[in-house]
Amino acid sequence: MTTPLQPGWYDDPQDPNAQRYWDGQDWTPQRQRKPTSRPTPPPPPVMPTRSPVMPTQSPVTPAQPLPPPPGMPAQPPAVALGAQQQNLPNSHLVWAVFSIFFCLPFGILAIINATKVSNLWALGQYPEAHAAADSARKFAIWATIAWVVWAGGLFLFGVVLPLLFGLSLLGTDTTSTP
Amino acid sequence: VTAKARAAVACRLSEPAAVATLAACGCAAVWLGDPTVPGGPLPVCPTKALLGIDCPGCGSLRMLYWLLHGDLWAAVRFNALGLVAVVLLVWAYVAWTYGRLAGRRVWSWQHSPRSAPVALVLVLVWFLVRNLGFGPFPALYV
Repeated sequence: MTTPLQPGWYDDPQDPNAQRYWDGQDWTPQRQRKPTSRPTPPPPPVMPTRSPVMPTQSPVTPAQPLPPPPGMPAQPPAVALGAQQQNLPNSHLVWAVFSIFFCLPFGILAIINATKVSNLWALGQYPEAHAAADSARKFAIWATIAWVVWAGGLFLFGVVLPLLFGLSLLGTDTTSTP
Repeated sequence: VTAKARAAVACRLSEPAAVATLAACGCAAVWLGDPTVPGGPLPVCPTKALLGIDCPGCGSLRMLYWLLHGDLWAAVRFNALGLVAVVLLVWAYVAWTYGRLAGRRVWSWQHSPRSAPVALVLVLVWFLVRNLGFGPFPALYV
């Protein structure tokens, strides 16, 4: 992976499902969908489901070298990327969108960090892209935990304790949730 | 189909099945808890309870309740953007489940580089317009 790249189709650093044409110097605007079947073993998907379900898949052995993204000096595409930097990290966008339902600023922070991932990746800032992806996940988790704590507390004080101690106060339970 | 292949399929579907079970439990809680009547057992949103403003997710329980009861218009009225999010989440779930079955990556909306910024803008705009106190906007307050 230390030789200059020949012109050809390579994985698009901005879109994990696409390929983009590299003219030997720079990216061209031409994009295409990744072929569904490849002659070489496919790289591990960036699916959110990297569990030991498909043990036959090879570890990170990319089929093609990853050219530098646009914005980087086009001269030396001789980039020896770490194994984890080959694929655009999962930005956890689905979970971030889901965490919006939990009504907390964490949900918005999760989406903001998910937004950063592909931008940082396109700029070649791979560790930062991974950090943003981790932050998106972290904030989505926090949003979920915060809501569970909130809902559990309301349920405890609004429903369980009144039931235990105040069965005679049935008429006044409208104070629990406005 | 050998027993081994069946076991592999069952293994691949275990996580989607767990997610579906959780979602079904949530829907059952919303159905039984009836968030359309104030004072029920379902919690009010913390942002609304503490600050008195609508957050982008406010009204989602009522939206889900009416969606489960087949009243699409009422669902739109309580959280239109939340309804869009539900559609997207179902889409992502189906793509994820199918991808696990097929053993390959299936394209879904979250893989587009534009999805995250669009989602961010929509959420922020929705957050703003629901809390504007003039013109047609108070109709969006739930």
